[in-house]
Parts: sequence; C-alpha cells; structure tokens
Amino acid sequence: MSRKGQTEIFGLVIIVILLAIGLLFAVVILTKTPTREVARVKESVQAANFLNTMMSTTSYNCGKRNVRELLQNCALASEDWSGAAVCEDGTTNTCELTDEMMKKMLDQTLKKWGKSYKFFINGTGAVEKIHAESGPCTGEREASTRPEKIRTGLDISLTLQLCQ
Amino acid sequence: MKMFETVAVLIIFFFLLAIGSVFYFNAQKSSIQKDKVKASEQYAFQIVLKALYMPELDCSFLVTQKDNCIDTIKLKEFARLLANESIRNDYFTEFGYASIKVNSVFPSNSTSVKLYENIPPNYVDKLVTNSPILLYNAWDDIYLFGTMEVAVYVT
Repeated sequence: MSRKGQTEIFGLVIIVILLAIGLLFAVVILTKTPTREVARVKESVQAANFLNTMMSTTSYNCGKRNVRELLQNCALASEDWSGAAVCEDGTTNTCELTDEMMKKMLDQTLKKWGKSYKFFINGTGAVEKIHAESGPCTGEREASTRPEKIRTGLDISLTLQLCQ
Repeated sequence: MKMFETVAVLIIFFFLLAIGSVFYFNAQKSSIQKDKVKASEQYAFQIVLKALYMPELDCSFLVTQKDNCIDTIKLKEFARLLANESIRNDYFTEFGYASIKVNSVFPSNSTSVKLYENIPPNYVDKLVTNSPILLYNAWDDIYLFGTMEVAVYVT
C-alpha cells in the first residue's frame, strides 16, 4: 500500500513539474515583445538625413542662400522677427522664408509618408518660433538633434522627433 | 487494476507531452517567421544605405564628398546606363530585386528619375523606404531637397 502511494505521489509530482515548465514557457513566449531594432535605426537615419538635407537646401528667392545661412541670419533677429534681413522679393524676411521652407519640406515628405513628427529649434527667441508637428506624439520616438553655430558663443539646435 | 492505473498515467503523460510539443513547435514556427521578417528588413535597409551612398552619384568637390548628396547630372546619366539590361545585371549583386527612384520635392516636385528596377516575377513582400536626399544641380549651382524611394522585393 505504502509503495503504491509513493508511486502515485511520484506520478503527480512529474505532472505538476511538466505543467509548471509548460506554464513558464508560455509566459516567456507570450510576454516577449517584438523588437523594433531595424525600424528604430531606420527612423533615426531618416531624421538625421532630413535635418542634413534641409540645412543645405538652397532657397528660391533669397540670393541662393541655403537654410543654414537663413537661420544664421534669423537667429539674430528679435522675437517678432523684426531685424531679420529682407529677401529679394522685398516682402519676405529670412525667418519667414525659413519657416515656410521647413514646413513645406516636412509636409511633402514625413507628413505625406504618414509619419507623426515634432520639429523644433532651441537657441534664440526668433528661431524658437519656428516649429512644426503632425499627428500624435506621445509614446516612444526616435530623434535627431543637430547643433548649428550662429556666431562665436551662440549656438542653436534643431531637433526632429519621429513618433510611433 | 494496477495495470489500468499505469496505462492511465501513461496516457495522461503522453497527452501532456503532445500538447506541450504542439505549443512548442507553434512557438518555434512563429519565432522563425519573426526572424525571417527581421532579416528581410535588415537586408532592405542595407540596400537603402548602399543606394544612398553610391560613389557613382556622389557630390564631390576637390576630392571631398558632400554627405547625403546626389549630383543630378550623374544621376540622369547613370539612370540612362542602367536602362541597359546588361549593365543593370552587373548591379544585381548590389541591389538584388529592388527598385530605386529619386524625386525632387522642394522647391518643386518636377524631377522623378527611375534609377534601377528589377522586379521578380513572384514576391511575397515589398518593403519601401523613403529617405530625404540632397540633389545638386551643377548647372545652376543650387541644392534641391529630394527623396530616394527604395523598394525591396522579398521573394
């Protein structure tokens, strides 16, 4: 009788161990979150390429100045953009043109591709007025920040965040 | 009676083992599929990077390359060359089954150049990546804002 009881307990222990292993395995598999490594690297490269490309793009009616040069001028203007150099058309100043160009480029690319983004510049009051965003941007995001020298001791930084 | 108990225990044991095996092999299958998707994404990204940094198209000045830039004169000539099937086949080892298109976006979306196209007869997935790129117009000495669209076909 005692021997039979021992065998039954042994069998039950094996079943419990098997169930526990199965449960552990299921928990490990089910809680494993999918990795987004490639997508994250891709978004990071995309954000960096966007800023790099945008800064070197030539403006269309401001003496062939590129966006970097327009920003360098705009950054020294006052917060209401007065004091910024006026372009050849006589109506648009460098801050207005930079803002217009950046928004157009963002609209034609990231917005068109259905990506949520947040773009902003830090450094001076005039450039901080230039910002753009599209779609919700609350969760995880990939960002690229690019510092730009305006003059000795004065730097601004451009940040583009690509949101999920 | 004892024999019956032994058989019952064995049946339960093998039943649990079978359920465990089914679950395990399903999980393995799903894991292999995830790895396959990840490998395809990595391959597609490699193609994108190769296309973005093609020495055939770079903007170089006094032996200095400008980052993330394509010379539009070189682009048009290279696209013309790649329209020839034998030359395109030379680039198959680099780009495989893919299509690469360059579009100008700012100030106007006037230019669209199909650089490379090799579409397989059957494919299971198409991974498209867009990346901003600078387009240098040497005639007017200006830089345009463009995009490179790389579609990689997974067979």
